[in-house]
Amino acid sequence: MMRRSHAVKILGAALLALMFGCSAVSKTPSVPPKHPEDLPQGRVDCLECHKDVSAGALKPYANFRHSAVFINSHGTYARQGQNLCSSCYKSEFC
Amino acid sequence: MGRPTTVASPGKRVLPAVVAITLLLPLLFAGTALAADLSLSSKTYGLYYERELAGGQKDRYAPLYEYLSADAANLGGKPLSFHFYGWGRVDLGENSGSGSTSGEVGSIYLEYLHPEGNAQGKLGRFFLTEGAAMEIIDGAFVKATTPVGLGVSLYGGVPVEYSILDNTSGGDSLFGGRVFFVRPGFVEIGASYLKEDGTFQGKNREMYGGDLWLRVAPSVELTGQATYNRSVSEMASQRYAVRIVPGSTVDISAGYESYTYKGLFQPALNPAFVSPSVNPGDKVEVIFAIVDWAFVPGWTLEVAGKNIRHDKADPGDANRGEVGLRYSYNDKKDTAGLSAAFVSADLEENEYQEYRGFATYSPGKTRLTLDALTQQYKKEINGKKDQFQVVATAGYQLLAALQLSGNLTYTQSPSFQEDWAGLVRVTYDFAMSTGGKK
Repeated sequence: MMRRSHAVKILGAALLALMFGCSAVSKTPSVPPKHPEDLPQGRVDCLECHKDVSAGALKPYANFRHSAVFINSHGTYARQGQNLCSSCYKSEFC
Repeated sequence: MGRPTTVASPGKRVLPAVVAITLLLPLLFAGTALAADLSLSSKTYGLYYERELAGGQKDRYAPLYEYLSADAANLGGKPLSFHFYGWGRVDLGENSGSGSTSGEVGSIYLEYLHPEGNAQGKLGRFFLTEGAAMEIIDGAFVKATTPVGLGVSLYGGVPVEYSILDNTSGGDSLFGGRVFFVRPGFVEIGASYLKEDGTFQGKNREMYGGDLWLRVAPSVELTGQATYNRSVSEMASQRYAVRIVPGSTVDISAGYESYTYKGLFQPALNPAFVSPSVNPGDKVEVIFAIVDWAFVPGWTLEVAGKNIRHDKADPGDANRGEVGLRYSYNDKKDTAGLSAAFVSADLEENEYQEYRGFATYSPGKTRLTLDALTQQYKKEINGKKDQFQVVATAGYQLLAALQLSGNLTYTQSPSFQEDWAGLVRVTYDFAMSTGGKK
C-alpha cells in the first residue's frame, strides 16, 4: 500500500508539472494525432509525400518508410516515442 | 518483446474505477461533449475449423469474435481525445479456449496531445512503450520536451497482466520514467527506469534502460538500446545496429542483439516463458543483416541473414538466410511476392527450407488474395518431413462503411493430419464529426 501511495504522489507531481509546464515545452510542432489522409493498403512509403525530418518524431521520414529493415527494427523507434505510430495505427496491435 | 498474456486479469479489480474516471472526465470540460470527431470500428469474425489429430480424433470449433474500437477526437475543438478498444469471444460449438466466453478491455483512456513539443498525457488503460517500458497499465503517463531539447516522461499505475499459472499473479504497482535529449534530425538519447512491485520469482522487477538514435552522416544512422534487470543482475536485452538509407530505394541494416531468459522473462506469467519450457540460464545472441532494394519502380528485392547462438546446447545454434521478391501493381493496391528461406542448425530437427508465394487482386469493390507456404524439414517430425498451408480470401465492399469478406485455410502439418478453417468477417467503419475540428 505504501508503494502504491508512492506511485500516486509521483504521478500527481508529474501531472502538475505538465499543467504548469506547457509554456516551457519545445515549439517544434507535434505529430498530428491522426494522419490527415487515409493511407493505401500494403506497405507505406512516407517518402512519396514527405521529405526531410518528421515533425514530432524528429527523425528523417526515410527512417519510417515501411521497408523490410524498418519492419524489423520499428520497436527501436517506438521506444523513443509512440506518437508517429499512433497517427496511423492503434497501439493495441503492437 | 511483448509480455505473454492470457485472459484472467488481476487488473480487473481497478478496471471499474478506470472506466468510470475515463468516462466522467470529459464532463469536466463543459461544452465539449457535443463537439468531436467520432469514429467507430466493429469487426465481427465467425470462425469455423476442424482438426484431425494424428491419432484420428477430429475436433470442430465455431467461435464468434467481436473486436470493437471507438474514438472521439478534438473534444470541444481541443487536442483532447478518448479511445476505447476491446474484444469478446462466444463459442457456438465446442469450447475453443478456457470456458465458452472470454473478452478483454484492451484500452480505455483519455489523451491530451499538446500541439507543440509532443507534450502529452494519458489517463486510463493504455499500452505504453517508453525506454525500458513495454507495458499495459491502468494509470497515467505524461511527457514533454523543453525548447533546448531536454525532455522527461513519467508514468505509473497498476500493471494489467494475466496469468494462467497457479498461485501466480501480476504486479501490484508499476512506475517509471525516461529522461532524454533530442536534437531534431541529428540525435536522440535517453535513459530510463522502471520498477514493478510484485512477486516475480520471489522478487520485484527493477529495470534500467538506455536508448540511442544518432545520425552520423546524411544517410547513415546508429541505433542502440539496452535494458538491465537489476532484480536478477542480468542484462535483459540489447540491440545495436547501423542503418544506411542512401535514397528512397535502398535500405540496409546490420547489427547485433541479445537477450537473457532470466533477465527478460523474469515477470513472465505464461508457462511457455518459464522453466522448464525455457532454460532460465540461456542467453541468445543474434547477428543480423537486411537489405531492401526497390531496384525498379514496383519491384523490391529483400535479402536477409542471421546467425542465432544459444548459450545452452539444447536449443542449438542456427543460421537463417532468406531472399524475397515483391511486385506491387494496380496503382499499388495489390502485391505479389515469392520468397525462400534456408535454415541450417546444430540440431537436425531445427533445419528446414521454407517457400512462400502470394498475390492479391482488387478489381473495383472486390478483393481476392491467395497465400501459400510450405516448409521442408530435414528430419521427420511426428512422421512427416513437410507441411503446407494455403489461404484464400475474398472480400466485397457492400457499402462505404461496410465490408464482407471470408477466408478458407487448408493445412497439413506434423501437428494436424488435416486442418480446414473457414472465416467470415463483417467489418463496419463509421466516422462522423459533430464540430470537433476548429
